[in-house]
Amino acid sequence: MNQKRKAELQRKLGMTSVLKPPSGLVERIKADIPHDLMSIERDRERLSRSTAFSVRVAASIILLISATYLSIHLMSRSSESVVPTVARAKLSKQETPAVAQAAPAAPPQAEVTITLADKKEEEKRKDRGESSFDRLGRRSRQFKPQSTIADEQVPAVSGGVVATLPPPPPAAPAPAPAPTREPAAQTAEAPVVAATAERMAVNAAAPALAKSAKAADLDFAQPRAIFGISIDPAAFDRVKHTIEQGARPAAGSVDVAALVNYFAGTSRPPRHEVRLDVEASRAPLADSDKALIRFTVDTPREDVSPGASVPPVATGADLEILLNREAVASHRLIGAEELKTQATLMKNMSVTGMLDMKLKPRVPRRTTVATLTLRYRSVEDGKPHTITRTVQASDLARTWASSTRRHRLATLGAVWSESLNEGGVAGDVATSAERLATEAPDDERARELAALAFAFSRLGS
Amino acid sequence: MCPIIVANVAEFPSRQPEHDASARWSEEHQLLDAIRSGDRSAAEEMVERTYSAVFASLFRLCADSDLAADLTQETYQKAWAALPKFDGRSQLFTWLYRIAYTTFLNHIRRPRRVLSMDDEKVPDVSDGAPSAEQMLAANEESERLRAAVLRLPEDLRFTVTAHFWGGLAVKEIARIEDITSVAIRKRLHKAFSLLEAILDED
Repeated sequence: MNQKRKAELQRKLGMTSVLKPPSGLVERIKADIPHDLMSIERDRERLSRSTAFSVRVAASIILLISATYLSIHLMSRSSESVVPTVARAKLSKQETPAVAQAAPAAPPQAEVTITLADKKEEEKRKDRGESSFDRLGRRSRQFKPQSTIADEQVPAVSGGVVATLPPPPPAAPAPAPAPTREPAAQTAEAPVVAATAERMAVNAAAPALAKSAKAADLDFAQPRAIFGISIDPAAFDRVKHTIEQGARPAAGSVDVAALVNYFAGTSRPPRHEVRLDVEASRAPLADSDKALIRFTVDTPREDVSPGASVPPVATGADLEILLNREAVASHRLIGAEELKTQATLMKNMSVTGMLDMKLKPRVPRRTTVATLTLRYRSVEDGKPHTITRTVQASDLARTWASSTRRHRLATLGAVWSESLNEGGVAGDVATSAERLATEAPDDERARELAALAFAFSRLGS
Repeated sequence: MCPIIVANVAEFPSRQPEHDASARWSEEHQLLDAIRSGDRSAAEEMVERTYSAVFASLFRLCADSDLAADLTQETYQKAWAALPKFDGRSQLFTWLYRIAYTTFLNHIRRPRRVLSMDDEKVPDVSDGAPSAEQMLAANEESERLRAAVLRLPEDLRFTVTAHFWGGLAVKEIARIEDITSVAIRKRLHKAFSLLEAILDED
């Protein structure tokens, strides 16, 4: 702004005129002066004394916590030193595949985890120690903090699953699986291994079995699913191949969940533990009252040497979505019928699910419409963890264009995949995907989606 | 929109020259010590010295005489309660202005007491005042400016109102905001740009 305009503004601000105070105001104010002004000083002294006392108490608590933490830390370090570190490392690299073979034999799955719940009722039930699952007459699945992989899988190992494996090659280790383009795809091809400390101890008791297992010996048939959501990396290639051959995928044959996972890809993985990434927006190219909630579970990245298995990061993982009955008019889990418990979460993993939702009219913006909770037991610290994310009505009103790139591509992929299944034309998807690809020319997925969507739209009906 | 009378203007809280500041500072401390020792007349003196400026600041913020009077009274009620926590590092009026400003913000945030721009009482126009047309034009302009200032982000709004309507020096605002004088000047500069944009937008 120029100096003249600034000076003019300053002049106007300074010139604002005011009335004199009304008569009687000073008397009103004086009448409010406390009768005992000395009490102000007493209050001041009391305040300073209480502040000093609070500071001393806080310092004592901090000191106590620090001392406790230090002693626990020292104790845990001294107990760790009993187990030979070298032996543990060897076990994790060579012997855990035996367990991997056993893993699929005991999946504690098939759990209903989506429910509609009246929020007020839910709170009352929580007070009574009940859950809305009970109220709705569905099977309640509680998180079992005491459940370990060792507990779940020992019968499978002793049941002779590993005995069917061919003997290992004497010297050369099995060739590494070819690296895939994305960690999500890596996950699908990686052995599902359960290798907690307890599990390792079981393997150590059966060294012959453990040593006989190699990654290449294991036949991990696809498709793979996490939380009951397909992450089959071949699903996209099948669709791509079909369209490139000038054909339309048969209606109902497209693995929508797997394609959503392909397009969601992986963002920057978490450094430690597990991350639950939840984002909502209006659906792309759809009615304005329709919205999509994307939920993604990401695990940390770890470079795995050829032939070695991907280590686990969590056990007993359970993803639960609670919807507010008062706010939600309709909902649908895209690409999956229901969520299931996941025995183990491995590193280098990313799984994305999507919820299609319509709200009732005139839902206040701050209403919580969905609560997503991920519970798991960390392999690193052995403790149960809970991550909770809430989605408000205002989140669902967010425009698709203002959402993150990952969300835009995943939701666009979902709309396109569903249109393939329904035999519809996805021309608008192509345009939007092309815009995404133009924004980030390095984004191979956006380019692929744009190219395929265009190719598909040219096929006609 | 009602006209605000231009005549009968209250004395603007004047900015003290540097050489007066230390004397005023020591005088204020003596007054505070007297109040804390239970001297009621010292408290009354403090009210007499400051209430006019507090009222003026609040009137500039809310543009309603009755409301400004009520808020001034409320400001002092809060000040008596907060006096034990006042450490005397800033000037007495600066401290009172902060309380008055917060009282005003609390008032406009109360749902049922939001100040209506159209509900202001029309004061009597005294003899010798400018013509009604002149007053209306001047008043509309100042009302637009007031509304624009109130639309500024909180930090800028406080800085502008404290400086121009509360009469606080930049250094004094910097002290209570716990930032440098340069930062306050930057805030003012930014506020002017935003005000210009808001006024142009209207």
